[in-house]
Amino acid sequence: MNLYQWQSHCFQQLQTPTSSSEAWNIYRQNAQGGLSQWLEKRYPRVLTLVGDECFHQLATTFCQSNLPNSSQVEDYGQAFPLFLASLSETNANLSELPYLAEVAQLDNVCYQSYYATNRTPWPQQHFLALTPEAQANCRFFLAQDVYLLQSEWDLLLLTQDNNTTLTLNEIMQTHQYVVSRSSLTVNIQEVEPQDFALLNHIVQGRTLNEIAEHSSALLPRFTHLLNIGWISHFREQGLCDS
Amino acid sequence: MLFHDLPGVGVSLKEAHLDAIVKQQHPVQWFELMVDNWMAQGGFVKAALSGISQTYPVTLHGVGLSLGSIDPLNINYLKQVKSLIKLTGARWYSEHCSFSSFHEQRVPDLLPLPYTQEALNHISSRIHYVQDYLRQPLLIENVSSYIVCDHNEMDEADFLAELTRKTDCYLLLDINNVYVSASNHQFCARDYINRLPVDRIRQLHLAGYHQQGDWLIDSHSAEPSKAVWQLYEYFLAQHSTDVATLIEWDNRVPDFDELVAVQQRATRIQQQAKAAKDIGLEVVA
Repeated sequence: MNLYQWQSHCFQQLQTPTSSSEAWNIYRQNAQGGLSQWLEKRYPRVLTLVGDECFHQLATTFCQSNLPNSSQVEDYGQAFPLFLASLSETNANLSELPYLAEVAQLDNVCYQSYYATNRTPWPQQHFLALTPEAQANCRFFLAQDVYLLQSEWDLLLLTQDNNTTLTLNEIMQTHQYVVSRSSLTVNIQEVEPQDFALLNHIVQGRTLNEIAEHSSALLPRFTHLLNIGWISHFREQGLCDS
Repeated sequence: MLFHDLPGVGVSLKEAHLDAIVKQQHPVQWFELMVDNWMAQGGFVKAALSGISQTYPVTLHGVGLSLGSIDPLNINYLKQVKSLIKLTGARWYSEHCSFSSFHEQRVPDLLPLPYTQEALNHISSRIHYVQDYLRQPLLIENVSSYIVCDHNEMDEADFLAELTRKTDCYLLLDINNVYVSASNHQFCARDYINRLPVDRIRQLHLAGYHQQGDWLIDSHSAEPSKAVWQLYEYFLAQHSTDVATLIEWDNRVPDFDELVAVQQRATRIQQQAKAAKDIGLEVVA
């Protein structure tokens, strides 16, 4: 047996076992346990909502069909919210928690915000040196810790302590959130519809001109978003980021 | 690289302990960072790394390189390791004699290689590449195992000894892994240690296992067992007291005080072994 055959054999035993030996079971348990622990760390609100036992079952099912494929564990588990969404359509127990996938998405963006690259100061001098026409044709970028999230549910209320008496009607309202990090703390903030719309335009790569075509009423909020640091840099038409 | 200036016994750095490390007086004088947990570029990670590495010496340890895999080496991962070495001024970087990936799929575990000439040549060439890239020697750790390839041409101790000869790498001897594998595969742990090139061992790991039926599982979820402490004493008495020792505790992590108590036990054992050697006592644990 050469090196390739040995490695192929090992992965086959882990993924589609042909041997029931106790030794291989230990490796399978280790792999499963490691991935489940990782998901617990990344999805703490989901864990709180469903409890240890249910989370472990969900994680086990997810991990069986989702082996990590990159060298960094940080990337693992991003598909968990989608997995929960698909499962809630077929799983009677989960259908009682129709908001679970969206809570998972909140966990996911909080995690990414927490570990995002630090902000750099807005290049004010560079931007002011542009002609008004050039400014209007720039595209803008959000700081790497800033994430937008729209939900049909009141995620803040749902993930508060002592939420056991909430009815679905009480939490079923569309909300728009921005998740961001100030210093070392991640904040989940409900934002006004016009701010959310403006941020969405920016995420979609629209210039100020293009945003004005959609709704000029949004533009006055642009300076506010710059001032609070959510917009971090820009790209001139036909040039690199600044 | 300075190998002998890490004072006392270190512990692996846990995010949950940072507050205690910063606010309490404690005797831990150096920390090991699991690189895979500290690769983020900003926020908490960057702040914590800067703070810790400015105050304490650190070493880097990794599980994500999959050195023995037939997949191409992950250069992006190596690039991040290199950045971490630069950021923290780490004394060294260690990885495992194992593989974790195949055809770009990965498992969060360290699978043993077949101990053959082909595998030795393969991992040697990759260690050469990594050492050239990082411009420093690697420390390679023995893994705990539950399976053994039927086609082995040598045993693990001989494989590691040959690896150091071919690549000039150093060894990180995990005493717990030796004990776990020796129990699982019925070989003599002391004989294994005796056949390693001791002058290439630059660091020791101590950790805890748990028992599952007839098997010992390397879980890093408890303090070292009595047998592992005894094997540590044996190594110090028979071989060297001049090797950096680290306490690993990665699962069911205790509070910092409990971890420090284990670190202090290792420190006492190390000091006693040194004192015994200084007065010429031959102590057999």
